[in-house]
Amino acid sequence: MNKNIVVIGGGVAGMAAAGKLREFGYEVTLIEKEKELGGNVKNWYKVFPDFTDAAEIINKLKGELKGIRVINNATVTQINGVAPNFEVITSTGEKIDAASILVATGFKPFNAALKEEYGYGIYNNSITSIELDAMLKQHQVQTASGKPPQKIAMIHCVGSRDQQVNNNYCSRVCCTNTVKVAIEIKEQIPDCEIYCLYMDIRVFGRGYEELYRTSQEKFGVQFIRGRLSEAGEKTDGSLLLRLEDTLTAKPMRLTVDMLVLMVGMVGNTELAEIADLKVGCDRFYTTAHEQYSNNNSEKKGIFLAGTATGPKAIMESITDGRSAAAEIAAFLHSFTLENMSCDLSFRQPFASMIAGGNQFCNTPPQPSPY
Amino acid sequence: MKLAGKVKAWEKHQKAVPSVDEPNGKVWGCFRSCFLQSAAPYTEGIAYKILKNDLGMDLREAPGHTSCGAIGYHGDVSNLETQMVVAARNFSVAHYELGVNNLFSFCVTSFANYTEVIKLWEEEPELKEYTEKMLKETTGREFWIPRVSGGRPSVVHASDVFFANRHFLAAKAKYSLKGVKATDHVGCHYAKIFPEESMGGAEFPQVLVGILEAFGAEVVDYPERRHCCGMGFRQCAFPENRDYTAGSVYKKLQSLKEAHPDCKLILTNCPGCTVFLDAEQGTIKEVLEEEFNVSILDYAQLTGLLLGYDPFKDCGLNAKAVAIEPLLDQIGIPYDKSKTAEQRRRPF
Repeated sequence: MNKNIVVIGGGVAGMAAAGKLREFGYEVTLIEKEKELGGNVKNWYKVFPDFTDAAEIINKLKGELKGIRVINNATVTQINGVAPNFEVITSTGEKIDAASILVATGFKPFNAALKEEYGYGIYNNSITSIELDAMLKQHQVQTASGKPPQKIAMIHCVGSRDQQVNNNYCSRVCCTNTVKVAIEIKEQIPDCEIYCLYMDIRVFGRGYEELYRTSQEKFGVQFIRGRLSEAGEKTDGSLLLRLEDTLTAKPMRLTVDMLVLMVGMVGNTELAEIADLKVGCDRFYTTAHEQYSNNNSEKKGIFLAGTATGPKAIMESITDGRSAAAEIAAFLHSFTLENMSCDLSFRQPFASMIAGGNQFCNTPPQPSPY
Repeated sequence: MKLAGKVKAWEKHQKAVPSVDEPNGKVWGCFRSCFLQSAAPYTEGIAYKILKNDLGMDLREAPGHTSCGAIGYHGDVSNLETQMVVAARNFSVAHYELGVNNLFSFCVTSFANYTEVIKLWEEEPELKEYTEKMLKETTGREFWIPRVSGGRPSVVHASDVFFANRHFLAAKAKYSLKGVKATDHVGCHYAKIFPEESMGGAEFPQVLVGILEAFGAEVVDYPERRHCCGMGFRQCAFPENRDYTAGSVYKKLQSLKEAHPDCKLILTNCPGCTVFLDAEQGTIKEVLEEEFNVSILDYAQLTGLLLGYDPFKDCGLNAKAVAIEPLLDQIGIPYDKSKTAEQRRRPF
């Protein structure tokens, strides 16, 4: 059996999984479509809740990739065969043998232009959270006319929990990310007023609630439970927002220098057909079981990790990648055992996943050596 | 504002309305607007003249056509089932009696109402079955669904027909809007109920902007452009609520004045907006002694003016609260200055 494992996607989940698999002693090939590893996280400035520099996370994970073959600027165009004898063909024409495959292709940011009423792509000062993060990284938060903004509105749930764009799910990280960037703006422009328009505040992780409290108590960030109806541009480039304060049930208007749309995550299912993976109604990959097989796909030998299976924070993606590495190691270990014995009954639930017995073994079942 | 972004939004919301040079763009069945007939009949009058005389269209309408019934529907007087049968009857009359395949309505509410009914028939086949059965039982007529936009079940609005033919109209125009600032106000029932059925979408609609641009106007935006005119069937029907309408108009025009004080033209495509955005300026002047003097013209009235039709005799601009003469001067359209304003408004 080939001991190579192909990891598709060099974001934090893919890198964490690759590093752990290498530690387990497997050969790993990491395929990344961009010229640099790091996925979406490589573009971030600092991450919540502890303001760790995103670059520090990327460097740490990159440091664990020693001995791993990394192929950049390549995508997977075809997958042939079955586990543990896959053949992965890349866009560069290379054929790679793999005992198992991990799909960690991440997410795509929601296209804010779909919410036309917010004027993204049309109004100069309507920007996304991604563009704001880039500004924060450069310490150049400024309006289109080059001035530091005095008033900013941040809109939660852009493209999340929104039936209109058929994204019913919560992207899970945007609330805490809003809190984080609001604090960063206040640190860089102390006199800037920040209004966060939210549906519900969902700051669920360790240290997140504390960060939310700090943003209000220490930095004076204002939170309004309300929905933005539409934005209109004034001649000076500022934006007139029409919204409803849903706590007081009153419509209100707010003029801001900058409108930041906290865009959610959208599933990246480019490999659905190539890897024969199922996609859920939320358009993220479906796992074998939501509760206890969350890194397994329904296709034997192909595993899933990170935001490919739904929105996750960075820490969760890293943990998920490592969890997938453990699943893959156990899966491949089963083939090693199968060569010794075909009785897999002692290793449920893996035996149930290899339905109909072991197709790779011609010897009749033998008693377990254990 | 980034024009490229606006064009991108427009590209997402296009519908295929045949123009006169296309084989199926010459013969049209049309539905009149009960609101325009009662409140501002001249807007339909000039639209007829333009479509027939200047574009050479064969416009057909049957004496048996009825109102779409939307005012009763939105006012909770009639129910959905009635609406569907009324729509099916009007479609059937147009197709089987007049031999037309393409239909447009002059009223945006009729357009939205017919669109809603067609969509319901598409999405809920049992409603279609019910309508078909009831139409046959009550009128003896055959059921027919129009397919105007790109061959899919749909009707269009008259402003869509003007938009589709805007370049032919601009080529015939005697006057241009070059150097004239203008903005648009699209009816809620044109764009906001079914944005995908609106030329250019609901947020940055192209239908009227396209007409303005074809005539050379400098199109401007202002923060309250998308704010409703405030008409609303409930507001305008009950005097106690009329202040809401005037309040909405005041809010819009104040915003326009602040952003572009030299913009004195708003183009509309909804009967309600055309009447109330103008009439409430009269109310505001009376109550607050504040004047905005922004001319509110329907797409057909503006096209008529630019084609050289008489502002008062043909385009019906004698019934506006805001005097049209300053805009005529700005565009360079001549009128009889030897007469008083009142005399000019009585051309017959």
